[in-house]
Amino acid sequence: MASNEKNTFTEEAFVSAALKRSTSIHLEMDDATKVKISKILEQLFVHVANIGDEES
Amino acid sequence: MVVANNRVNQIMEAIEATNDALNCFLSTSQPLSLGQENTQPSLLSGVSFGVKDLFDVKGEVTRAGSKMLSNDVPKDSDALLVARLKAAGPGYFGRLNMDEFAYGFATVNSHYGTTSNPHDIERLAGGSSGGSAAAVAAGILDFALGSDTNGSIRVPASLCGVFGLRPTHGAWPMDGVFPFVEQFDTAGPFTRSIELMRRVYTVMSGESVGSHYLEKTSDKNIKVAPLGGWFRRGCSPDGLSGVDAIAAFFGNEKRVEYRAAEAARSAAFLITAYEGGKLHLDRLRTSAHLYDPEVKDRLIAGALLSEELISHANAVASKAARNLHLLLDEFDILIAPATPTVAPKITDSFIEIEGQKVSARANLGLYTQPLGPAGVPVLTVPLKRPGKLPLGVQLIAGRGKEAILFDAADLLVEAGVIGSGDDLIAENKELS
Repeated sequence: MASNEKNTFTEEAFVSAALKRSTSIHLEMDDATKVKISKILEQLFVHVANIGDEES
Repeated sequence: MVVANNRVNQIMEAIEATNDALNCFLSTSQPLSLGQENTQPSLLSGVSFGVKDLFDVKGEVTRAGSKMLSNDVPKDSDALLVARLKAAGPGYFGRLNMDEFAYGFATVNSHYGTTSNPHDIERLAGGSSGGSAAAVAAGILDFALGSDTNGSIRVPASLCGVFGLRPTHGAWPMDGVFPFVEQFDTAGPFTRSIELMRRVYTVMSGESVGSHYLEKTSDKNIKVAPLGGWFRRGCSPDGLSGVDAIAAFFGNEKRVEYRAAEAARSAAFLITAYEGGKLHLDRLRTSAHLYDPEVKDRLIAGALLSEELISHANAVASKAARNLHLLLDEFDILIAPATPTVAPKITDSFIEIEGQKVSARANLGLYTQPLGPAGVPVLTVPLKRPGKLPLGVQLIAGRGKEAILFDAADLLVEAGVIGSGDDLIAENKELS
């Protein structure tokens, strides 16, 4: 990641940034769906952290 | 042709008798024969097969395990790989269950139900090609096609006790195969014997009688190494002893490290989520309610990942692939467990990895997923485990080197280290 996203992002910030992206890609979600998606994004953050440790 | 037609009828009856319990078949097709009437017998005459629901078959709808595609127009031609197979004479018997859009390792499908494991119908068959693996493991079909993006052939092959081949990525045409993540997608067969695997592989490669893929070797001089590190962590003792037994047979138990395995798995996980989300974005905007709820949520989450993150994940995946290719320059075959455990119960579909309970649907590919970015061929072979549930081991070779995987598997079967699917069926009959 050019901006070294992993080192500067917390899990919370990662999930928040991803949810905000739903507007720009025109994907509407109700609140219940947002809660479920947040949980999946939290699981994905583990993988973000793993590859953040790898130099590209 | 009375004998041939009797065989067709027997298979149709077997499907009808078992499908309520196993739920492998989504639809059936009754062939006129198994091709024995051909004046020049071809490589697959006398053989039965079916396909995962994501292969195009002329006259049938390709649903990829979904409801939303079920009203699509029937295809006007076969997928290229299906056409190659049909030309070699086997009888085609129908479409097989899968996780919706191939996103899962369980074959738990909210539209069409869960496919059960033929060795214990209270357990998962694995996925996403679970219908294909179960139909072969139950002895209903001689072979079946599946697809493998992150482990969708290798995982169900392990849990159902059959051979399952993920071929070299890009070696075979994927025209007419519903995509998931094109940079990892492969299509491959399940069989109960290496002899049939060789024949199916030959036909799918566009080759014919006389191909070197059909020639067995007795040369045991194959340089192997078991993978350590990531591939030992979280694995059941039985899985590890299976890997060690294969390594011992070939005379090298010294482990080597694929150091980038964890990063490769994470990169593959993120790329899969993102590419899957991108592929389905239009449908998610308009028809999200038609998806399997779990698949929908995972696709939406993937669609929300940033391009920048995925660009980095791709760089990590490429670096990991180089790491694995270097190991495969040194060894003919690397050995790793295929799944961390035997098939989990359907009603409690969690697996325990290093003391933590995690979803089987997302994590059964723990040891298959790190291998995808390298595009190398991997053959899952069933360990010989009399009286126990099946468990498979991955044999991994360099790109384009499937033949050595078949040679190694032949030697292991002859030595009794691994079983054939037919052995497992016989054991099941004795147990029941």
